Amino acid sequence: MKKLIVFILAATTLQAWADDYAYQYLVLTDVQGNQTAMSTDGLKMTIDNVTLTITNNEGAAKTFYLVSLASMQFSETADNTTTAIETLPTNSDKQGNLEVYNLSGIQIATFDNVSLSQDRVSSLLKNTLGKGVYIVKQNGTTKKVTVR
Amino acid sequence: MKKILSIIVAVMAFTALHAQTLNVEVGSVIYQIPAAQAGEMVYQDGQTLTIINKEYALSDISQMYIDNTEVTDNAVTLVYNGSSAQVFVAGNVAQYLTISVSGAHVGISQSSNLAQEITYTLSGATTDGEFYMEGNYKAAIELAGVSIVNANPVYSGAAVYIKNGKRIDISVKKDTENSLTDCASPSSTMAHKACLWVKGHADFKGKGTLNVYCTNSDAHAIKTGEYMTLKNCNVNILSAGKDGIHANEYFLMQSGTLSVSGVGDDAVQAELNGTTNTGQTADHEEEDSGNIYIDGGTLTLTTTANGAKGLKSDSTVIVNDGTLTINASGGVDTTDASDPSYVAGISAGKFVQNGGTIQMTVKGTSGRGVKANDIETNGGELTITNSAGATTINSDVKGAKGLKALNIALNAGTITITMSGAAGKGIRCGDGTQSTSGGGGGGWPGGGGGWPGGGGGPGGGGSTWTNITGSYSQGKADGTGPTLTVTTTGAASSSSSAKAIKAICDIHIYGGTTEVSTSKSGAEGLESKQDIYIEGGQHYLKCYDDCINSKGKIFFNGGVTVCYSNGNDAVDSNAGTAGAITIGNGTVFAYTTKGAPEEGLDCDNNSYIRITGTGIAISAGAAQGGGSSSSTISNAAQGYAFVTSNISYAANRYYTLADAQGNNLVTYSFPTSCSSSLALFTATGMVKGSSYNVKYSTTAPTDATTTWHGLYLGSTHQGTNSVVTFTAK
Repeated sequence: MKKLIVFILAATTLQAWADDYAYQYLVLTDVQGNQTAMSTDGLKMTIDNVTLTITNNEGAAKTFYLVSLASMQFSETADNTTTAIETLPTNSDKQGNLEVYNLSGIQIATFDNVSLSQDRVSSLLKNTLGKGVYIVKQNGTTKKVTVR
Repeated sequence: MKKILSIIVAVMAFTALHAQTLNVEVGSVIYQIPAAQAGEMVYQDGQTLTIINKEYALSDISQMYIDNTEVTDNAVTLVYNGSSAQVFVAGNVAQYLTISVSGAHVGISQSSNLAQEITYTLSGATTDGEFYMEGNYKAAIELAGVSIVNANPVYSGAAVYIKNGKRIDISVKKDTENSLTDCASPSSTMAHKACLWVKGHADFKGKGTLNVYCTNSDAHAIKTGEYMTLKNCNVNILSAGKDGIHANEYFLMQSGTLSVSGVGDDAVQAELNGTTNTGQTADHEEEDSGNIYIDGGTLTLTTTANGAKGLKSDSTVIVNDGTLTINASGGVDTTDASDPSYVAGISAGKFVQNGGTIQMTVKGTSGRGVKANDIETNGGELTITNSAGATTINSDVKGAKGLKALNIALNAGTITITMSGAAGKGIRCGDGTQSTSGGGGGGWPGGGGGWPGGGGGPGGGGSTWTNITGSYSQGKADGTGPTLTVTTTGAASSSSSAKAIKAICDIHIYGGTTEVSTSKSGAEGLESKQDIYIEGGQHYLKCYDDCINSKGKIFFNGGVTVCYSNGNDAVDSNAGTAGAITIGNGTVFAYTTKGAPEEGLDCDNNSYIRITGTGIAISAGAAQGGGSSSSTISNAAQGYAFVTSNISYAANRYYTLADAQGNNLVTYSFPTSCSSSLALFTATGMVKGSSYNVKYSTTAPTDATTTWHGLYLGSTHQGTNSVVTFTAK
């Protein structure tokens, strides 16, 4: 009975924790669709007439014209791709450096000169990291890969 | 177990660290949006930012920042700090609220689209602020250590005004002390009805303390537009221009403490909201009764204004439990000269006490303890100490009353009434039209004429009562009843006397215990303008004037009654007809120490006495005309005798009436010497033609089955010194 109670409490608490999970980034999108990710650590925004200035504990500071802003959103990743999932092309002869992140936005691996085809990337990830869902980034493009 | 708790605490702490909140600061208002709820936040044309359906003007935003604040959904927190206040709003309800802050004056308007209950938590202190909320969805107000003084109103003169007709929880948080003070002199546009003013129905709860200071002469301390309940919390009302609490529909106190003082009118008043009285409903659902219910708790109510009441309802006041202390000391309110208003501890259409303890002190001129159309006691303790004097209004003497009602039913409970003012009556019951020589009339106030202030002089003669209404009863048919003690010590005032119990209507006493004491001229013990029926119980009346007096007949059908008068007759019936005094199956011991012409049993003619049962009657006194040993009682059910030889009774002697064989019929004694020149003797088993005697001894009986104020029943005690011998008729 005790173990059951502990399990229920833990599950409930973990669910609450998941709901309140701290997002790493605040991603601002301008009217052209360009995105700027700001770390939420100590993030502060001030409005001065026509501009919005954002600062944070990383020392970054960015200023936007208010009229150029379309939206902002909390995100677990810098490019906010969790909300716009895109898969790798099935066949691609392109190669390049591959950065691999987990769903928490933490970089877990880097590969040089990797073919971008989904099959190649999936095989690489399966052999090195195992089954799972990963965010891969190359040449500024971020995509999701599911390894089964 | 410790391990489990440690894990839980650790996980909860870890969870808290992960809270992430976007704070949007708009002046003194901070909207707190949990990151997980924020979703897509849309900018529009460089003018607005919309978050969870709330549109913020970018020009109004002071700053936005992210921190780890834990946000509770549906919560609004107000923190007062001197001349300013900050308001924190949970993101999920921000879209439903329009908030305005001017210094420390906060106004919040709830949208009609709101469909969830918001909790407003107030804390901090301000010497010039207020909280105003309007809306039409229920809400909760938490007083969490807040002190508000409204010096310069922005919304109203109230410290807190909830202009919301729904259910409002007022939670006085445990271990906090809260203080609300209204504006003393607001402008006409800021006029308020109360320092704490709730348009809807308010449930007060929590274990904290709330102090209310109403400084405006036209406002109540607390007013609710609909019902008000009070549970657990400590509410102190320290001043008000009008009532302490004024509730519509009904007022219910379940527990906690309520203290009211320094008010300009009633301590607690309830009245109808609409025009139709629903009466008490099941669980008070949809109730609009104007009732006051005291189901528990401790109330201390003090009123000093003219005509003010401790508890006031035109409907019903019901005390089921709790401890009430009520002090009323104002004068007479003669604003309406035709209908003067007297102070009262409780004023109601109907007063019912089923339990609890009520201590009442009345000092205001002509004040009442309980004034109602109907009074009913079924349990509990009611103690009234009334020292109020009398006054004369419209040529009528208005003396104070302990209980005053058209109908009184003292079914049970312990009732103690002590009256010390001039003409102060313990109990006044019934109504009618009084005709005196030279005309005149009487009636219930408002019915045309006003009370005459009394029933005439000693003996009640010289007036006639017609159109008599009302009822008076003590005890129930099963023989149970209250413990009633009534004492009056006031002198008469003009024609109005300090009678203990006066009823215009019949008096029916079925059971219980009665102790009555009066000490001034005209102060009769038990008086009726009609008939008196004693069916059971034990009753002792020690009076300066008549112990029992009636315009009609007096029936001793049951119970045990001892009447001792030291200034007039013990028992006096003015019926003037057969059966004026009727001895049924009851016992009556009636004696006067006044001397001639006062009698033990006076009905103007001994032959008017009737013996219809097997009761006991012992009388001692003088003979007031019509008194003769040859007087005959027609159709007596048992033997009797009128003894006209002088008997000098003495204290500390125990007189036994016995048959010729020495069998004890009754033993009786006197607290002081009593001279008798006309005595009635009748007792169970007395037979016409048999010989009976009275002998005394100086030792008291020890085996009586009933001992009651000098009367010993069921004893085998025998006297040794002969007093008188007679043959029964």
